[in-house]
Amino acid sequence: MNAPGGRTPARLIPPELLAGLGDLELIARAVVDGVVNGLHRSDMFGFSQEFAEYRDYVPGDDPRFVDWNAYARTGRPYLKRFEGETNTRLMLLVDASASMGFGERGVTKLDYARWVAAALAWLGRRQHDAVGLLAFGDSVAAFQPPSARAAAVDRLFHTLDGLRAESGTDWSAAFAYLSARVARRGIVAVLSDFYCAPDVLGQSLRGLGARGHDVLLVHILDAAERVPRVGRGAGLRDAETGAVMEVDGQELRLDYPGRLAAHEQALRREAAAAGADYVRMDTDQPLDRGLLDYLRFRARHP
Amino acid sequence: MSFLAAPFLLGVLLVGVPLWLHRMHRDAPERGFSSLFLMRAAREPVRTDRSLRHLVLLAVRCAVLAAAALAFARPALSALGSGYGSAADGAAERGRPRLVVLDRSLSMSRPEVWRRAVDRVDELTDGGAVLVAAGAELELLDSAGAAAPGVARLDFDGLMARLAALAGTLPWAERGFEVHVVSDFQATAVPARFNALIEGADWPLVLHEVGRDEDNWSVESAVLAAGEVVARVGSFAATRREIPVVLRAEGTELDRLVLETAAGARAEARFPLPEAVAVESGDTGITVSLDVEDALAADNVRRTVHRGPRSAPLALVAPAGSGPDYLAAAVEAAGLPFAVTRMTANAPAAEWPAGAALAVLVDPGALSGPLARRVSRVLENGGGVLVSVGPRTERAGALPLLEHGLQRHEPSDPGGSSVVIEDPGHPAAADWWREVRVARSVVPREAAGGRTILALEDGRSLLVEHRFGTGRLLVLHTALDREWTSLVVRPAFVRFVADALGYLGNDLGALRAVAGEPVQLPVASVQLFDADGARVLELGSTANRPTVRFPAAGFYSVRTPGRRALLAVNVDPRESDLRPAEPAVLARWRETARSQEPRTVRDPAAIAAQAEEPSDWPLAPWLLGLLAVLLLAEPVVANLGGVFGDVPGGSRTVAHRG
Repeated sequence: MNAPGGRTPARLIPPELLAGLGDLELIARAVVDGVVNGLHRSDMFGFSQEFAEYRDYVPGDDPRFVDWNAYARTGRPYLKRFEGETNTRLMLLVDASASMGFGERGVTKLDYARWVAAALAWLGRRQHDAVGLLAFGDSVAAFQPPSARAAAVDRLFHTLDGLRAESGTDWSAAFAYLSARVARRGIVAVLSDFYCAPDVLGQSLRGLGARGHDVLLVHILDAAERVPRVGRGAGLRDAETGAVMEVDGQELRLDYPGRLAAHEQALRREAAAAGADYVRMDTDQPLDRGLLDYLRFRARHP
Repeated sequence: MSFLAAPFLLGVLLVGVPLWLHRMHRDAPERGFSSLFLMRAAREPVRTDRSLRHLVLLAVRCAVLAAAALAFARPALSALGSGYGSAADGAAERGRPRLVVLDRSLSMSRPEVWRRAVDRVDELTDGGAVLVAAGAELELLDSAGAAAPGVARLDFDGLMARLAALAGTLPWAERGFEVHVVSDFQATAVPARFNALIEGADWPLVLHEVGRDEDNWSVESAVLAAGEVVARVGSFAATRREIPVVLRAEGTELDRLVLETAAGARAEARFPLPEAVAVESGDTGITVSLDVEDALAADNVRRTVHRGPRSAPLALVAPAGSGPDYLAAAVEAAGLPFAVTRMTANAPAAEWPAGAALAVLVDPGALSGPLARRVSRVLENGGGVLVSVGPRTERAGALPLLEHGLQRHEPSDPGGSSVVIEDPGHPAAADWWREVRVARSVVPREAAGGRTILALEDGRSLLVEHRFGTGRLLVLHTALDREWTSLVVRPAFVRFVADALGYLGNDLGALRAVAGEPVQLPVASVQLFDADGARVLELGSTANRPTVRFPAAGFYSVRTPGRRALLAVNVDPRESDLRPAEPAVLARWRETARSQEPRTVRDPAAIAAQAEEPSDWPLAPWLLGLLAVLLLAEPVVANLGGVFGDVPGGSRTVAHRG
């Protein structure tokens, strides 16, 4: 089966391999470069840095993007614009609650979320987007306002690297914190397992939408969460609350996928109602698909 | 418990494997999961059930391994008999009840033998056991100290079956038990049919032989015949010996002689019966004794009774001109000691013979009132009356002493009806009655009570016994006439008259009684006294042919209405032979008994020798059986509720914290 863009799966980097790399920047570059190089050979237009037009320089523009050759010929400063480049603000919201620490085969959901976040940040850096980070659990664990500086991305990588999955989840507090500190509109990518009531999440999303943000929900799940494999009479302990519940493995195998699908549908509905997009990512899948989904999303929200 | 292959016991350590697995499983009783947000609790909690099932499964698996290891280690229980102490301890350890049978027959009364037996029983019963004294009957005892050697005989014929019946009444019988027999194992006590030794024995059997062969002599019999007393003396000695033999009457020595007895042979001593004794009208107790010191003293005396000439009065009441007097002829022919007084049915009561407690009424339909009342008093005083019906009774339609009506009865067969014996145990009932034909009878119109002894083919009563207090009335419902029945023309008629009158007249006849053995007295309403005048049997216990067990040898006085007789009770002569049974017989008994390895334990020397060679009762077959059961049970338990889905080996989660 071919991956999107006509690439073969052999070119994708499996998450297990990424886990062995350790360096978050290296992971991000490897993922993004692979995706971008693939895009050059694809029929997807606008996702490369191809020249599109010149525009007049206005105060405040980064002088590094002034086309000095055009300035020499015309005497006027022009900025060179490329297809797919709109210089937006990307805010990464990473769920660092305890439930994100769950994962089989050595890759937790938080690991996967930080790789996705790093890749998006690196992609934003390539496209001169301002990238910020808000990590939260039951409170805000880390916040970094959006910035297009390379040093900011480095600091963001450092912050991502230091995240630990612990505590519970408080969506309203995280969104309120974001709204209070990020006034300008931009893209908000929320990376979480979304174990919450969809309607509650929907209210928060609608608040962000009302402020002009374009929201992308990245739903990260582990393979073991899709079909929990437990025996009859197994005791399961909630990672966040510590509560223990006795479940029936047989019943679980029959009922749980349906409940999970219904939950995803509810999340999609709430996201659509708030004008947000929803992307499902599994920790056993390469990150490319997530990036492509993001690029598509970004193309729709210049 | 001993183990013959101890290295195999190391296999028991394998039980650590399931224990370890179980503990590993217990280390992760709950699994971490990202969130229970979408989870639903099990409809039916099964964790507790699963935990219990896991414990059961663990126990079964441990038991499987332990049973397999133990079975191949060949554990065995040390069999009893390797010394008394170890035997008691072994049984106590196993918790197997022990039934100890102590032979207390006459041969065990030898002081040294009895002392050894008691010592042996004390050791066997140390720590608890059921003690049974065995003689003519089995008796439960509290301790060997409460037992005393008896005078009866113990025969091993059927002993196991009797023990089985006794053990079946004990509360622990179902647990299984082992039987120890402490005896001198006389050869004469071993039945000729070997199966009689082992029938009913389905338990481990241990034989403890405490006796030994000793010189002994005994008077095996003493018979009065042709004016002399003939005594037969048995020698159970290894040497020839001259033994003085003494004749006594009522304790007074009458004669003495020296009898030469060969080893293992028998000899006769003959004494002429003194005239003073021969003419004695009453009973005289005669004893023949040996003046010798030997192993058993009780069998050196033999008792017999000389019954002097006498005649008890008997009233024979018959109608005048009633034809041939078959009855009187039969009484005379039977040689019964009765003085017959003939009377007619209407004779005055004063003619009733003095002291007569026995009467015969022939066709009493016309019996006068005074005579009827006299007969009634005889019955009330415990006497006996034999009645035969006839034409007059038929015409009267009733018997004077009974209230029910009578009617003529003729069987459909012109040749007469045969006789059916309803009560074979009655003295007046004998097999020859089946040859008798009855062509005519006078039978009760309705159910008349009484005990039917003989009946006709159609169920009508022929011979019925009625009770009047302690008195007995025997009614023959046919006439002593050849036109009514073939009885009177058959030789058996004399037997019938002898049996019936002997029964009604409480005649002891040739009764022989053996000390300790039950004997049914052929009389009723009897009092029994021993030689010291102590009452042996209560009158109230003797309404109907009582069974008596004489506690000791000696002379007993038997008193019945109108009579007093002497009864000689002797010991069983078979107890005099003290030779033990052949070792081959005991060995076969030992091998054939269901005991895995029963053994005979002999005296201290033999015991000490056998203590060096303990025998074992292997447990391996039982353990293998247990193993098979456990192997069947293990998958059943394991698959209950899909346990395997719960055991370790399923998915594990990785939770990273801090």
